[in-house]
Amino acid sequence: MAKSLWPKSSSERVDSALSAHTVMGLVISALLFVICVSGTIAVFEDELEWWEQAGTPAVHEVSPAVMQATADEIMRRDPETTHLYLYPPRDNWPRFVAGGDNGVFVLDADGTFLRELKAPWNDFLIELHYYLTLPHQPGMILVAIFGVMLVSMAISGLLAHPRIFRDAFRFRRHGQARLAQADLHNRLSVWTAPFLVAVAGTGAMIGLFGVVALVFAQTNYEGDTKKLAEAIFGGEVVEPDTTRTPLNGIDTALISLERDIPDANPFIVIVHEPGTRSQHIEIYGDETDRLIYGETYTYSTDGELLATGHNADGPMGQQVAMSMYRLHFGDFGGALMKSIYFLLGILLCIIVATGLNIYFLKRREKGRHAPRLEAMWSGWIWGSTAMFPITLIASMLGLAGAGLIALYWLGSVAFSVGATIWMTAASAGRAFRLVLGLALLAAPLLQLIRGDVDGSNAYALTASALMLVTGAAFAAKAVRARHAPQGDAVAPSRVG
Amino acid sequence: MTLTDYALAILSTCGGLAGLALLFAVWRKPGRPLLLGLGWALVTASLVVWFLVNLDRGVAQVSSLLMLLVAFAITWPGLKGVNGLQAPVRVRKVALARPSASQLAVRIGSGVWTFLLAGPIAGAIALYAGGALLRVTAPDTGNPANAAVTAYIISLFLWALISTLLLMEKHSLRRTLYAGGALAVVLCAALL
Repeated sequence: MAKSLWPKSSSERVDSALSAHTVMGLVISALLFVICVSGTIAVFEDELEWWEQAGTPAVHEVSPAVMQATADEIMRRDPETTHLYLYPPRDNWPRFVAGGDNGVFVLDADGTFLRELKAPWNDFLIELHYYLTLPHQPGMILVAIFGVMLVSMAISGLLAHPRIFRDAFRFRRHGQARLAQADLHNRLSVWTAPFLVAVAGTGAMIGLFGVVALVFAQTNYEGDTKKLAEAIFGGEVVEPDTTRTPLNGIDTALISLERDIPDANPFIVIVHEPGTRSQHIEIYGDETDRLIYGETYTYSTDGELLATGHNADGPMGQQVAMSMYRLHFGDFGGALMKSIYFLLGILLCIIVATGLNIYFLKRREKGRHAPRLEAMWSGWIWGSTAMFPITLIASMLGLAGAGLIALYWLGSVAFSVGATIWMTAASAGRAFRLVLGLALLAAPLLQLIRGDVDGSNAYALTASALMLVTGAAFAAKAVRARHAPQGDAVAPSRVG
Repeated sequence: MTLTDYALAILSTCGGLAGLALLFAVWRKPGRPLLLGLGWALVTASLVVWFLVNLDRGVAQVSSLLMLLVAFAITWPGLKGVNGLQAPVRVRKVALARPSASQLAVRIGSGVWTFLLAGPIAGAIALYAGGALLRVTAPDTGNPANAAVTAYIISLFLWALISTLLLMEKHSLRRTLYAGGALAVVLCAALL
């Protein structure tokens, strides 16, 4: 066997690290699992948002004149808005939506307002993943702290397993269940470590910005919490002037951008302080070979380029900070990259689930068998996962907002409590996988029955097909497992 | 990306996979340093080619792809075959002593205190350490973005590290003293 490059650890240090890893895992695993599953699904948040209104058509190109007319119409509908947001279609996202502070609309290529953008389940998903459905400020901080703790788990995991790189390819599928579970947990952790640290670290950076700004304001910026953002992203381009003036210049700005930077690839247009003398137009261009969210070009209403954000060629710190979002959500290579991130996310969920499985199997070996807790964990894992398609169906039947949030948490707890009282870990896993499969099958079928599908919408059709296939696979496996001969959940008689 | 870029990217991905296969072969039968070096060289080359073709986005793309393929290749049979909590397992029968009410209360109190130390207090130590670092590294003139982002990233990593180290300390009094001392030092460095 090759020599390990990893420094030798004393057994005491390994024990301490393993103990730290276990304690942290026990405290955070249940909610961390929900954050991981919701984040895995949220990789496709744009696609799912469209799926909820699948009857709206694909749009491949929008002219500057249509953009201007759209902005005018939004201002007419929402005159008090402080910003206008226009999302023209781009290469890998053929959709046109636009709105203000009080509502966003779906449009066609001519700028006709088709309907208000309503995606209650996607909104719920975002509330869950970004804020754990708590009030936004504390919720985002809490979720971000889970990101820090996940990095902490990675550190303690590495310290607790001095042979983790030496055993990088080892997988014992047979023999003791705990060893097989430990191998699954450790191998996935090692091979997905860069993804795990990137996702957890970027999540922490996004969510803790407000807290860090507060601390750095005390230590460096004389109490001014805006200074950190200004230090990284730069300050306001135009001084505010609230004198009313007609909205104009969006078409001029887009034509000027096409002339100034032909390959800018605009995908977001934001009009700041619309209808005032300080109104100006910020355009995000997609840099398709960079991780940064986008390069920004700020134009005046008469088409003069006022500023470039230099997100792509500015200081390295600014480039790193601007890369957090795409790195976190896997939005850097269209549907293929998102699919890869989705699968890596599933592996992360497996790492979290197997972590506690190992803990329970160790307890059994030490004579501290906890069948109720095992059933509770199994019920939580599969129940909270099954609640995602169940809430999706509920939202299609009209439930939204707080109702969806309550249904998700109450349902997840009910599954877990039900498993604790009436089931074993194995039977709970089988039963709730069947529920998950059936719910995944039901959601696209319900959409089909309602007739809210546009045949040209390849994204929605693909999402429906994937739900049907995944649902059928889960249901079939659960049914097969039900009829297969089962091993004992526990075999106390084997060793006295 | 041009057609040539795509061709290069696909070739280098295959090269990266071949490199990982070589590393696996060396792991199975060690003592072949040439193959080991070649394996690492191929993996590194695939990252470099993707960087040349698609800059940092390219590196992220090929890294994600390789991670996924290897993780699945190694664990897929296990994912199908491992029964998790359903698997039979040897169980020892041990007479368990139930803790008294006072022992339980002490245990819960200690757990809550440990949680506070490893969570918010470790966070305060790390963030103020980041602030202290920024005081030293922020330039008097010029763009402060590099210093600010470096301090930000280091403070988050420190938080994770300090949490781990505090949890690794077995004695709760020592754990408390370490945390208190560190907090006092960083507060002085950051605010005075």
